[in-house]
Amino acid sequence: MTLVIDHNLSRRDWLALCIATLCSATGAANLPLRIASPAITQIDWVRNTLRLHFVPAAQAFAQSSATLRDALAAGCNPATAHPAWRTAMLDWERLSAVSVGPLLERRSARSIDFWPTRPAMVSAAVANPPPTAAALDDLGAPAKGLPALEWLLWQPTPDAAQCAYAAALAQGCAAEAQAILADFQTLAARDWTPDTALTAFNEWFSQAVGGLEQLRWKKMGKPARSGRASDWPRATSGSTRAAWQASSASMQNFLVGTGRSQEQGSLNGYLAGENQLALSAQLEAAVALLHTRMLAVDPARTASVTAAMQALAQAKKLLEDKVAPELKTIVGFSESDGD
Amino acid sequence: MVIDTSLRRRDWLALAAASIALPALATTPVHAPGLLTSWVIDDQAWAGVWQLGSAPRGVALPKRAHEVQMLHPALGHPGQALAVARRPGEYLLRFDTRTARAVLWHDIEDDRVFCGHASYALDGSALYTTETSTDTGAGFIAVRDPVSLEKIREFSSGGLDPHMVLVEPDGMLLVANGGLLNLPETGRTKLNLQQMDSSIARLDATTGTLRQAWRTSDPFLSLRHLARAPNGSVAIAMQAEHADAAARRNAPLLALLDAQGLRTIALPENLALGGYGGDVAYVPGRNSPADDRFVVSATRAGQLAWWSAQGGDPRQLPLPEAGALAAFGPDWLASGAQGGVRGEVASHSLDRQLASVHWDNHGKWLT
Repeated sequence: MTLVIDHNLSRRDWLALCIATLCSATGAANLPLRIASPAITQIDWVRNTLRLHFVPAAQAFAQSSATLRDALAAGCNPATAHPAWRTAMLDWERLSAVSVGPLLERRSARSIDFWPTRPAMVSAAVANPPPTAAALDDLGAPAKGLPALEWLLWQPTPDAAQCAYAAALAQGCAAEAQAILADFQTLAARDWTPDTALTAFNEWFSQAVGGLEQLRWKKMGKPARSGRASDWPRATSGSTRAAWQASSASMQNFLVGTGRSQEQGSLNGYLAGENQLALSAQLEAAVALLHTRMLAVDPARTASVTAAMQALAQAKKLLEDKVAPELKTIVGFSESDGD
Repeated sequence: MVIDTSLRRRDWLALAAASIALPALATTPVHAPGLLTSWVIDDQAWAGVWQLGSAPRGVALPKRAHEVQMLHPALGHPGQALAVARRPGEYLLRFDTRTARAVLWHDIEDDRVFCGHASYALDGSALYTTETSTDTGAGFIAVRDPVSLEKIREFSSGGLDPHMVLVEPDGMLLVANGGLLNLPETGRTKLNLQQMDSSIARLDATTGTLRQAWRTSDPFLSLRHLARAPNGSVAIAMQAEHADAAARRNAPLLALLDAQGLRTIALPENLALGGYGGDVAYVPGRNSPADDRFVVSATRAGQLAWWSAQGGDPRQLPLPEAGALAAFGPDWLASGAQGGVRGEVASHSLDRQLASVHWDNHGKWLT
């Protein structure tokens, strides 16, 4: 573009030009670096998020829980059982970080991840194992799931009864994982309408806020307050840090995506599509801070845990106070209303 | 955080007037009127005390508290208070209001959450807390040791979502069951709006037997907070859950329970209060029983809504995001989530603003 300047500009014109230039420069300084993405509907966003986030996470957990089941069917040799449990646990952390759809309808967290486990109830179940899969279903949640399995598998020398019960629990986890995957695949294949997509959008957004809070408080803040290292989640297997990082990484993926999926399946992509560029930049900054703090987190260093909790709180606050009002959604975990 | 801690001339006048009006205080160091309450500053939650002319002072909390009250005097821990975590809550806290130090944290069992309120038995021998099962969402009243805070037993609250519990003069429990289903997976999301079932349940405090229950004719009104007048009538502050915004905005905030049963108090259209009552209190008249009133904090409308003790003569007084209400005889204080405090102390009106303090929903007059 060629700028033609009239050399006969009046003083008033010069002043106007200077002011316009100043305003333009100020505006440019405030503009985020990114540009708007193509607008996507909530239907697109729900479909893409299922395709790029939830279904792959459910597939991974179904696969690793099946591997765990198969490993324990052959006994609980630590060399195979421990890594199989760890992989399944981390896949579960990633899948359940933003807990939506079938995970809520099936209340899967109760059957797969009742924590802290109750060793007395696990021991009682070992002594009187449920004879059938249906009987296992009826058994109380505190004696089941990945935390109960962790307690069993990290016994110094698990006995035959403990191994048999562990195998039954792994079978239950694998069956639940298959059911979750099937339900997510059904969701991904359904015909979404503006109304059903809006409902999903509201639920998923709220659950993302809840996920940040669960990680901040239930898995970090509350056990930190006790001062006992054994109270950290996944402490028995020494997987606390890895579990936190898996959960956080999955939430980061939901919020801003990675690589090519950024504009297609993440909340940030939707924000950018809505031309909410400033908010999009703030969300990216909050997630970048979270990423850095979660990389550095170490349960043995209190300051690193506190810093990670602060980053989680900041991301949650941004979603609640700024993003939710702009997107006109309601946060079910909200701290902003009374009761 | 900068809070102006200097007493203003107006504060001193109110304080002096209060001292004159309350001779019992004249023999002790001057005791400014104040609130035992909870608040948030810069995302940090606190429970403690605020006195006129001072900055609030308290114990840092892991999450927001809801009801805060002094321990029952029979327990022999003067100066100690109890804070109950906001729903879905995980802790009870005993703390010393004089030193602002925690005395005892008590975490709830893994399969229950606190619902924000608690009441002591008349003789202080038990603490009743409202709780919800994280497994089923069912409501419970837990009977706890009032000092150790350990659970002794529990029984059904008579409904879902028990919120406030009030001990009646005969020792019976009056429970406001809000009727909403929440589960831990979904935080505060209301899962049963089409089937919500709110009620006031009267329970035997020893056996848990449901003696009587009352419901409003409008199923979308959630009965949540209770205040009792000396004549036995009970005011209930409600929160509307209608899907229709206009119906919600114009819904009544107050219901009265007395010998005639439970009835809602309709609002004139020009006094619509956003369908959200936060707290409720009984304030006796200063000069005559004819001036006895109930007041509800209309949080979303930013008003304190007043009625006569019979539910007539509705009036309003602005207070942005009004929440906590505390009365001591005819004196009262109210606080709002935007930092405002209004009140009337010894016939002097009080209106203060504490920058950056987000007062929480409930408080007690600091004695």
